Amino acid sequence: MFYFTIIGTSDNPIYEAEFTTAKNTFQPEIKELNPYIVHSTLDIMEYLQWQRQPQLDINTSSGGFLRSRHSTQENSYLGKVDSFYGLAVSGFLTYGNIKFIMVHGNGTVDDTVTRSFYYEVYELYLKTLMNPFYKVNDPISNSAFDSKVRVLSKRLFV
Amino acid sequence: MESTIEPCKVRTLVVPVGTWKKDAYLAAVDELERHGEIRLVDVTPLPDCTFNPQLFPHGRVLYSFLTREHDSNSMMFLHDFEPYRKLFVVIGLCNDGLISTEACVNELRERYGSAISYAVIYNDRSKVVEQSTKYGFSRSEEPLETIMCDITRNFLESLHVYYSSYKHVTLRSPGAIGGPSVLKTTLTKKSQTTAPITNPRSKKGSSLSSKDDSSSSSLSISDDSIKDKSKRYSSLNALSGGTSDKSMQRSKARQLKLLANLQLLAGQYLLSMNNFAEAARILHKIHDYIWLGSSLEGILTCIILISYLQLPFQVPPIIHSLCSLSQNSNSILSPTTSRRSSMQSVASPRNSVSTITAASLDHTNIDIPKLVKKIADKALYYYDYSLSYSVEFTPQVVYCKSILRTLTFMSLCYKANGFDQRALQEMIFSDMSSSAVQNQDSLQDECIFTKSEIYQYSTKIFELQLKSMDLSSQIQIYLTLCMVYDNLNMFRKKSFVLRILFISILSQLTNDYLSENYHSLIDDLMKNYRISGWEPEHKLQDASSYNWVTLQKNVLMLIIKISAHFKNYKNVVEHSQLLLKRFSHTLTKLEQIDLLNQYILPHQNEYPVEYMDPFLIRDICFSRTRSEEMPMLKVLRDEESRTFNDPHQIFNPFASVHHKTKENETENSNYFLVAETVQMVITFQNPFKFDVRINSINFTEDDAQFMKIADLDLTSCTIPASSKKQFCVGVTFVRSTLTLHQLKGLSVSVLGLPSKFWGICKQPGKFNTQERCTLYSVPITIIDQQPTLCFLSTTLVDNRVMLLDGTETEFKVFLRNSSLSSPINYCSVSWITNVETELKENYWTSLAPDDLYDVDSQLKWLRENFISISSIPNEVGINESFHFSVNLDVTKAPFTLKWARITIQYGYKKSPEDLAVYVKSLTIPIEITLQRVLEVSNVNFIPIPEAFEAASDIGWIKYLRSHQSVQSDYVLMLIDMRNSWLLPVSFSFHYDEYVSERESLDSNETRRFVVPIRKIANYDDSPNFKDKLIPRIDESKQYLTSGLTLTQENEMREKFWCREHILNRLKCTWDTALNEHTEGSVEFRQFVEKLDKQVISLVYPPSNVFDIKVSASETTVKVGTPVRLNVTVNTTLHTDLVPIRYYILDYFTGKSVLSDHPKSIVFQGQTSTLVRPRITTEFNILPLKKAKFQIEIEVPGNILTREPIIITAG
Repeated sequence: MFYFTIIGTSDNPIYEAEFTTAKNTFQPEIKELNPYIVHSTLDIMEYLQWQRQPQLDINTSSGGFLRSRHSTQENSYLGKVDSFYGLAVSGFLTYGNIKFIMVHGNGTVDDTVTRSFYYEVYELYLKTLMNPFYKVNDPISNSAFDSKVRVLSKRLFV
Repeated sequence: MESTIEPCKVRTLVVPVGTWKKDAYLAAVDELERHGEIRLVDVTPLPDCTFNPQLFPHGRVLYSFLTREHDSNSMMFLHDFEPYRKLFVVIGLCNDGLISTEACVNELRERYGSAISYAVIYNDRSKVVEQSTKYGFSRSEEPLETIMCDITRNFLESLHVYYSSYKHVTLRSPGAIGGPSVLKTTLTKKSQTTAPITNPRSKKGSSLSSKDDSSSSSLSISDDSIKDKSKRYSSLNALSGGTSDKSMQRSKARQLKLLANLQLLAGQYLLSMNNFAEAARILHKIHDYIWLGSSLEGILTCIILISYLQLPFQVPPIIHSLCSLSQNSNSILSPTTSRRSSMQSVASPRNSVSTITAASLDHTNIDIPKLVKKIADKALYYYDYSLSYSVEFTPQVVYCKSILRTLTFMSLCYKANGFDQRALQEMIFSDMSSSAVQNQDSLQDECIFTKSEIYQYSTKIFELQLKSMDLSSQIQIYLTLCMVYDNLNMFRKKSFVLRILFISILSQLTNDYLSENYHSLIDDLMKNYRISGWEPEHKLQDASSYNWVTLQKNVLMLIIKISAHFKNYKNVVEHSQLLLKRFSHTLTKLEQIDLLNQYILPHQNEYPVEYMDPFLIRDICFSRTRSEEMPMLKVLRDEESRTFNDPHQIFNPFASVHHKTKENETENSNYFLVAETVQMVITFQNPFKFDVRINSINFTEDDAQFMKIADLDLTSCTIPASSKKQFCVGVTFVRSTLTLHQLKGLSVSVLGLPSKFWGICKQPGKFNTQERCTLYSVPITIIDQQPTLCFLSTTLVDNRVMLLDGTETEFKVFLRNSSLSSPINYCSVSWITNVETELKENYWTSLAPDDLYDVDSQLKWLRENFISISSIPNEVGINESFHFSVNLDVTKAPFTLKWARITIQYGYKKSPEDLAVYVKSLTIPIEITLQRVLEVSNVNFIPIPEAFEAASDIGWIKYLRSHQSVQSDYVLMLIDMRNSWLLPVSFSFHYDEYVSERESLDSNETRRFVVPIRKIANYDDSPNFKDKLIPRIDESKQYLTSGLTLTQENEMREKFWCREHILNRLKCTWDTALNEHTEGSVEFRQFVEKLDKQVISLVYPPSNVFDIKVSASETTVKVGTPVRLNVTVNTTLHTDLVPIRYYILDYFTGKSVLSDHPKSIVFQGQTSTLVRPRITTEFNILPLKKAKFQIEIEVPGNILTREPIIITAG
């Protein structure tokens, strides 16, 4: 079970989705808590945004957003950025300062799968952004975007 | 909140004695708190006391003043292990000097028996004479600081006694005292937190630990008291004897730690540190981990405090050994002194410890924060390790608070950007100078602890099951975490923790834990979730911005619940309103109804409650039930103000359109009469999911002086959920307005709330405006009752009149002012006919200038002369009748005239100087039948062929004869007149001085009449018509161009002026033969068409460019005799050839004879040819039958022969 959000530049949710199955669903109290966890993780994301070195120990797989310019590695994916009790939180930062944050209900972040999920969602987001009728920070109400993200999550996470 | 140096704070309970007001009491406590730091040097020495201040005069006693006692009993099990958790001092603040000190102290002792020292501070005791005791102090006699020093002295004395009582007691671990009631630390992720401990003890496995447990458990409270007693004595022996027995050593070490803790409280930091170090050394040796951890924490507290006192100290060797300082010297040693530090060995009081090889470190050589962190880590490490024991375990509260103290320390170092005196001040007096320490986020790289490091450390808290702890501990933990996150500038994290805190509080039934200060926490929550400062109901920018509304809504719900939990209904009402006002779209119907009915409406009498929707009224308009004519504002002297004749004004084709709009505006604006009742239609909106009932609708005071609600039926005044609804309210107008009155809104009461003014929000704000909504106001003009004019009758039958063309008639109109309140003193009459209404608005655009002159002159005449009114009275009194005469003049009326409407605009002018008056209008229609009398069926002009020699009786011949000398100056105008009237008509013509004889025509008879007219060229003042513009009657109509060439224009001017010349002179007056009274005139303009070229050439001199002279050899010939015509063309032009054309016409019919069959004349065959100018050219013609021919020759496009040649063939 996952709770995925795209957060705009002024802490506003652009897109929210829960990827659950019939067996694996968030308990009602956790379901209510998820947005709060994501919101509090923004502090960490904003911290990592300006770091060159991966200082956060939870953040094992990736470093800060501002990594060395000699590194050719992609740096948008920030890996596991936060945790709260049994929940892990992973993050991805676009170059337009849009934050992708996901609460992993299983408490672990599979970097390979999560990274590819984020990059594919990023591509979908960029396509949305190219729509002349879409403005940055507007909620994404396009059902095509939603269904594509859900298909992606089923392919990668379930 | 857990302070970094919590172990050194003396817990002091402050209680009010006497009758205090809350504010005064809190102020007194505040003042006391300002004296919470007492220097030992100021305290009177206590020579025989363990805690004699003289032993360490630099030291301080730091008080922590509490105003309520939370956990004195629940934390009893910790009093051996962490003695500082005990309540030591109780201070009574007494404002009643009459209460005796002894009684007071006894009372305090009875109530708070667990404390060791008591004091009563009186505000003023000067009037009471009582034997002074060492517990009573009066602020009027000595300053508070001195009092506190005395209290400190008492405290130290009592502490000595307290310590003495411990000398004979075996100190037990909290787990042993509290038994199963003590919450053991539960880590959710135990596996990852601890690495294998590099300790010989760990190798021994669980068998040893269980053995150790059993030894400890023997000390548990359930044990036999005798056994317990023997153990205690043995421990006493251990302290004095120095035996190698492990339990003796444990007892000794624990006693040492207790002493060190008490010394810490008593301000003797150096001694305390040494004792802690010694205790740690022994405890480490005997593997008493929980006490070892606590001792290490004691050492770090001492280090911080000594640093605060800026005294030199040496790091105890045990720290050196346990924390492996030598291996991590790079990080711990300060960079400047790292090279020499290791060699700088200073003798420690306990440096004989064999296990420690390295020398003690001086404080100047070390990086104290790093060292503190290292020690704290180690302490936590030992606490962690103790968790595997069943009795000697670390209780969760100890574990948590250890983490919190470290976190506070790290975050304060981060906030202060270093470990200097400012940071120390903040650590020790956390609530005193928080503003002094500036947060320097930008310099975080250079900080001792990085943000991520601190955050990482804080997540340890969330590895514990905090839910299972008691509420007060939870509150402390969460509040401390809030402070830490605040120091780190992680405001979202802080809010998150605050939310958890509130949820925890809500889950408990008691509400005794949070003080009133939770308001600031709520404010923080509101701010961080961007609820406060976001005003979509006022600011357009906010309304169009996106927010995390689900979060905001949930937070507000939580705040409402927490406020309700603490029975703070003011907040409940305030936030419930906020929630409904800004987040109604996210709330369900049930939630909205609950908020309204549970939280808002029940408290509306106690707290200010406003209806939540700021845009209640969406529109107001008025409608009349009766279609009565309303007066219209008419501006007088309008004509004067207009500037039509301004030569600089550019023609504005839209002027008429503008004018029209203005008229409509006057018609549509809200004009009402005093005492009139109209319907006011109010449109309300209800964005909520519950029905909104309207209790009252009223005008504001300003509006109420002009109008009032006439009938208000509020029984059905409920706006259904999520809809707009219109209500009709009867309004009566009371007073007239001086100017335009703006109705800006109404005072409306909804849901039983007090009435409030609501503006009219007709249009929501647009994105280019700043305002959320553009407030609209309804313009209203209320005027006094106006007079009413009634039509009574006319002297006409059925308002119909039949007129003979060219005559005049007069009739009377009878009217009455039926108003009972207002006379009429302004009257203006205007009229309109079907001729004007049938014309298109732009009729003039397609007319040539000469035609337009005809039309316009006719309209002008209709406007000015058609009707004339006489005898209108200046003032018509109330209920008075009057009449006026109307003269209809149809002398020049067009035959299309069918009806006329006479409109009387009337009103009452309050003073003659008024520039405007409200007018009503009354229209009287008159049907007109215009009967033709004399008609002109044809008009022709002929030259005078020959001189009239013979005398004649005919009038015109007579006239010509009298002008014989200039006969050639005349032409004859032949007019065919017809009498269309039923009766014979006699008439006469006038042209200049010529007056014809009276002629008569019977009914339907047509006859030709001759009028001699003088050629225009012969008038002395004959102008050059070509240069004379065709006049424009209506100056407002301008032409950019007439679309004609110069030649065409000149031709038109000639024709026009010639016609005008004739029409102006030609008159005909008639009268019916039978009735002398019927007389009229003929308007020739209607009958005389535009003149053609031939006529022009007759009556107007040709241009002198060409001059054609024609002469015939003979003018009277026999048939078959040829005639020679000599044609000479003179011209001023230099040209070789001139084209000419000739016409041979039948003299009588005027028709061309060239195409006759059989031929009546033979000619050259061509009707046009070229001739040389100034040379006579000959043409021959041969008449073939008897006839009279007229021959005309012209230069095409220019002129005709002035006099045609007439040849008579006999």
